[in-house]
Amino acid sequence: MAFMEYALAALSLHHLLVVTVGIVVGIALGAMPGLSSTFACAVMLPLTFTMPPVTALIFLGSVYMASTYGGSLSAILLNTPGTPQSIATTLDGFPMAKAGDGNLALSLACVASVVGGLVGVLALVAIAPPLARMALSFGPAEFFWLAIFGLTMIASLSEANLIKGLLSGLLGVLLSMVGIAVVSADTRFTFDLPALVGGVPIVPATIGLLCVPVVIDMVATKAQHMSMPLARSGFRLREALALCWRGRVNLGRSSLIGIFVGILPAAGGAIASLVAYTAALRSARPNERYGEGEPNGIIASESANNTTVGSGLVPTFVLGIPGTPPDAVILAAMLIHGLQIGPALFVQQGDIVFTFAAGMTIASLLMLPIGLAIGQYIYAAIIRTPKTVLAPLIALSTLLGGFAIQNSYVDVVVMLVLGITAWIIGRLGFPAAPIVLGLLLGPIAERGYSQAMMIGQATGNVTGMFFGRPLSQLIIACIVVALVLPYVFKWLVAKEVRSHAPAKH
Amino acid sequence: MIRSAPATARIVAFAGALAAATFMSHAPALASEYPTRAVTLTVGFGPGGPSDISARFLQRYFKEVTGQDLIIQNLPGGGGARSWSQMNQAAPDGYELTLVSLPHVVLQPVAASGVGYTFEDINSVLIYTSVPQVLAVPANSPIQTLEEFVAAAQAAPGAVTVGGTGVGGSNHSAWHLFNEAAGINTAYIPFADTATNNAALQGGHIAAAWTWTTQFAKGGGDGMRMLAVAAQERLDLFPDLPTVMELGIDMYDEAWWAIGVPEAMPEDVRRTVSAVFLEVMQEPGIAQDMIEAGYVPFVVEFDEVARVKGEIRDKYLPVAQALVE
Repeated sequence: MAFMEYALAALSLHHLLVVTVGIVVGIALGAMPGLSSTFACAVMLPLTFTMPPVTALIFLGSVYMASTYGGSLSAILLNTPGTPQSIATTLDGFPMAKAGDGNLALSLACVASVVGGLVGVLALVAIAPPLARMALSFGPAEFFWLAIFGLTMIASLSEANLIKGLLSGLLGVLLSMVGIAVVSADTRFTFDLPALVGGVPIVPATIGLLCVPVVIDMVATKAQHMSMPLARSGFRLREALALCWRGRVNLGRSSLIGIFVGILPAAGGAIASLVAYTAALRSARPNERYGEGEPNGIIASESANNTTVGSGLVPTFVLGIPGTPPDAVILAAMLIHGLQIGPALFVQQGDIVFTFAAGMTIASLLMLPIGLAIGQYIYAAIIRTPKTVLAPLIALSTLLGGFAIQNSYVDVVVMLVLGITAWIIGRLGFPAAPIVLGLLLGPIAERGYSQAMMIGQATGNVTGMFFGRPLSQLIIACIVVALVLPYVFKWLVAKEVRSHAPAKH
Repeated sequence: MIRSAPATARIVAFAGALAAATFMSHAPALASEYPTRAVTLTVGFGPGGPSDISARFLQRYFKEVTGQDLIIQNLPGGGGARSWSQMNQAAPDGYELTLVSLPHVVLQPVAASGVGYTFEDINSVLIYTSVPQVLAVPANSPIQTLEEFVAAAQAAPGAVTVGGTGVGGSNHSAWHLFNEAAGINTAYIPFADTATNNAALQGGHIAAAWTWTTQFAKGGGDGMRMLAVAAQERLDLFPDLPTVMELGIDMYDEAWWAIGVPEAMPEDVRRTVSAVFLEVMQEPGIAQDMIEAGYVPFVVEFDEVARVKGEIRDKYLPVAQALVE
């Protein structure tokens, strides 16, 4: 079989070494709060100039894949997402760790990441050209509705108080409007500070909103160590595999979501994992308690975000359009190495695509042992380290991360201001996660809305632009279901209770 | 007059490149003292776009020429404004440089308010490449030629949608100049970056788009078709692609990229930096690599930069004012 040849080419000692180094570097950078996957790839790019093209791609791909998993380590153990892709992982990962199942959560994240990684690579090899065309049917109106669908998650992120959750979400959308608007060139909310013309930088803002409050809390509470009991020691790999098998529908659905969101330009792993988490939550069985340490929450988030690694490369390879932010770095690497892009890549340089895919398959599989080992090692280290050491270390890593991405002090200030604000309003009951959601999805919704409006006005069919297209209708249906379903469930449960109630008498 | 000016500059540059092959002596004397450590080049756009990739070619050859690293620092935001509003705060020692896009820095401060810099704040020491803009349609569009595009726009004034990157950028300017020259009215739809602009075109969500020749190099451009290039002459890379001008519409619109330095940098340092990057651009291989990637390497040396920049300003200032209205 031809694939075996490519697999053998990828299995050379040289490639195995490159993959291993890529995974270790990727996990380490991804686990540091503040260092994103895009940053990890960009920092490693100059190292690839001397490598043969396919080796360079395999190396960058491994770094990307591993950093996406690496982000889950700090998400689970510290409640601070290491990369934006693992925002949704914190929601159930940290509660699991607090309940004594940190090692299980890590193994679960690793297994889900490996499955997602493999599904993404499979999508890349098997159905890249048709998939890329499908991504193109997403126009401005569909991006608008997709962002609105993502925003419905605010309702579930703020169970305690919906109004406060919505206000947080609005604050996020408001923050996303700072800077020069793409569609109008208006300069908004910059208060004449040149540093703000580019808008609120997303990665430092996300770190600030989600990580800084955690560090402050760590200092503000008395306990000497992170209070994480350990229910059972070991990797608990068998348990993780069993949970994944039980959640196979969720795993499949989340990977599919990862494929679709990954191939959309302007989305990426962070949005894929949030959408997958929302979908999992919407189809939850009554015994699943999302947000309180539900294993399926980790499965959804981590499989979806790692699937985007492969699927994001579909439009990158076929259309020359990066599917996710780190793919832009990979695109740059391809151009510098003189590779063809487009269907020609698959036809004329198919060996490169398939050797790369084989290399990424190996990287996904190697991530299991390496990821598990590093995960448990870090876990042990975090539990043993007193908070007086841990808190400054995390604070330092957060500060360095915020600074390193763009060598910008402004980013650090943004991070600290938003972080402290998030901690203060968090004490008043305003959750921080919806702010991040608004910040991520606000620009997509705004651009999609304005562009669809402009096209609709030019062609004289605004209503048809927003409501007349089949894909839009499908997403609108999902939004309606997402908003109505919880009430239907509540009503059904209430009816059930009522019908059983007379039995008590 | 405007048209002839960059043409002369190009001849100067071409002669310079030829001369360089024979007598390289005018640069190395200074280059031996600079750089002694890594140099940072801030790029005001994200990785993977035409600006970033042009800088990555410099990065590769800079190392070969100087033995030092050229570190690319992406600082995207505000369509480049974030990097240009901060570039004068850089250390004037030659180790903190900024990529400058022309005519972007002419258009933006006029088209958008409060961007934090003016055209006069921007100092460049060497223009190193240009990229022509192309008008493209989806591959399955019924429009086959530029004449048909103009006819479609005349048949339904304001109803033909044309995409581009941002408001007050180069694509927007090409849209304006072409509409003026052809006497048509179309609807401009701004996108966040080149990638999303092209995706909307390939998906047929817009009828046409102004984009860059780089998007069609290296086998790219699947699902879209170029109608004409807004360059002054045909490109070697696409010999069959007509220019807008040869089809009887009097306009061309390219973007140029330059090495920008902070205002406080003394002239001798500026000359040294310029000389080193000139040497990088004269390295065998870089021009061919960039041509194959869709660029048109176009070097304007230190003493000519101010004049060429002045000509670019004179051409684009009225365009910027028209875009505001």
